[in-house]
Amino acid sequence: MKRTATVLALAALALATVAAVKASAATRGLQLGLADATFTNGNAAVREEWLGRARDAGAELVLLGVDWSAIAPRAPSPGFDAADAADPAYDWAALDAAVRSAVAQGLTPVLDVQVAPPWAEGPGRPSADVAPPGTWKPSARALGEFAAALASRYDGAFPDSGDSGAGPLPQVRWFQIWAEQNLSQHLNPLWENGRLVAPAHYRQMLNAAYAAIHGVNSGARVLVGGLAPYGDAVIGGARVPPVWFWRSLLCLRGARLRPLPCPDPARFDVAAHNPIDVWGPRRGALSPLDVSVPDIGRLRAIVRRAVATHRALPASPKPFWATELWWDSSPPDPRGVPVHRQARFLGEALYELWRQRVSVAIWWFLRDQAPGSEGFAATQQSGLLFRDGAAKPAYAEFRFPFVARREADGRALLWGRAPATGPVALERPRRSGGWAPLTHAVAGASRVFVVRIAAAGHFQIRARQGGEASLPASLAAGKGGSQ
Amino acid sequence: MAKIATLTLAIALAMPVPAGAAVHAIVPPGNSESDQYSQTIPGSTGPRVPDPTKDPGDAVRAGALSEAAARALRQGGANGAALATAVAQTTERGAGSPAAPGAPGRPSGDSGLGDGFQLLLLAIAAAALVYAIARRRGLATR
Repeated sequence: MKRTATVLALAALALATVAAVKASAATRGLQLGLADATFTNGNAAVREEWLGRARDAGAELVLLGVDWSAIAPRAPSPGFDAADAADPAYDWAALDAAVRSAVAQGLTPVLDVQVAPPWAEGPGRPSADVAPPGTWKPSARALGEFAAALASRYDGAFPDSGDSGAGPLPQVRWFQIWAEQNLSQHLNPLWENGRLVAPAHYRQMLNAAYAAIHGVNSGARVLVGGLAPYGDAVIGGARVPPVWFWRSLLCLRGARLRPLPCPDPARFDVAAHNPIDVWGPRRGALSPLDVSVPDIGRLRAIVRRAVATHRALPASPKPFWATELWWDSSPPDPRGVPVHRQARFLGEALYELWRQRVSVAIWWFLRDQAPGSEGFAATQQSGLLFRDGAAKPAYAEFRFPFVARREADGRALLWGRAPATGPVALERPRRSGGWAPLTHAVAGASRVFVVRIAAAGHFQIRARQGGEASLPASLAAGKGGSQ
Repeated sequence: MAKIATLTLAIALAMPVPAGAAVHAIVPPGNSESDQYSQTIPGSTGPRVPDPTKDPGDAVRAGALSEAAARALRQGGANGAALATAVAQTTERGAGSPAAPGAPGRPSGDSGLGDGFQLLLLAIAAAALVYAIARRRGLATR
């Protein structure tokens, strides 16, 4: 009892030292997106239910996979015009439906093109065990034609043949070209005779798509495919470290980023990465060639150098997006992280990415997948929602992320992204129960707020906007702090 | 004495395993069977430059830390984890023979310290052992 009283007295003393230093609305935002297999489900009711849940969760964007091989004809006839979105050999029905549903829910679609049809793969194809279908030397020219068709179909004026009376198909502005092309699961060959060849081939693919998309819609934006975070620093390896891939893509050599001759520099509008961490979001990759959540600066330095030396065009600053981010949770996956830790990792990752000026973060998935034939290991249990639709703590964290950090000078940094613009109350627990106001912030147009307060001691804190509160964050007594 | 034993064990565990003998991988929680997103622990010799006269398939690394060594160190608390990280990161940053210059698309400048690092570890272990014995003798004679 005496000890409890002492602790309470110390806590009260600590809180008494709290003084709001400033509450300011940060102008830099962080848009959130979700990816989920249900978003492209062929059943309209299923698709719209989960897209609606994505909107309710606070997502602004949805990442929709575009399976080029499924839309294009299996064996094109001689009259097939690949650049014509109206060519009858194309089957756009599933994608049209997904785009329509997403836009109807107020969500911004991001279309990620992957998987070449067999006829668009290069010669000398090995077995599917070596190079999965759609990954072998995809033709840059064919990809460019498909990209032209894709961009024109969603330029905002294309007649919607499948939904008569609904007007033209919605406009799509964001197009991502491939995904994790540093892995042999997605692009081959990565190496030839000991030389890294995939980045140069991918550069041709990217540039063909860029020219085609911008040729159709100058307002469209092209994203580089997000790379997987970890590679094997081995010549001939099946996973190229992202730093190697980016350097080669942008014609820069070695750690000093010396410019190499580059007759056809990479063209893109947005740099993307998939910082999928094997541990928490505050711990960087072991290898300086890999890029996990806190390591985005490694890529930013490469891209900045490329822009400065005209190895990345247009020569203007490139926004960074995190296009795949997740942690599986337990339950249901016994090997996942506990659900509360999953939520904490999510919030901290969003803060880490925002801190590194990442402008969009896309979480995979909205809902847990069913276990596969081998159990949970090969499917995603990273949902904000359990399989039955019940919310995990991560759902609240995604809607209202809030992080408290102890800074080096001893002050506390409180960062959050409110569900809406407007005032945000920052509160501490009352000794008698409930929460008491501590200070306040204002969430501006970006909805992101940052407050620094002078505060000693270890205590909990939460953010509240109207009737909605964030998950509580714990502010550590020492340096570092954690939610 | 326990500290000496721990240090010696840690250094012994840090000795390299034969190239390709072990998979040094840490996988994302919940996806233990996925090899797409596993993080490998960097090796002591860094990425080797492929010899154009040989099959590039032999360009593999010897590992500075076996999987067991890394696990043992990380289970040893913050200091163990720090040592594992230091071994891994030091070996990755060190000097080594870079890839052939002027070869576009060829990664370069990311080699490890090579065998010198193991010698350094052995020297540290020996120094620690000598220091501990001397200190113990000194205490005993007081």
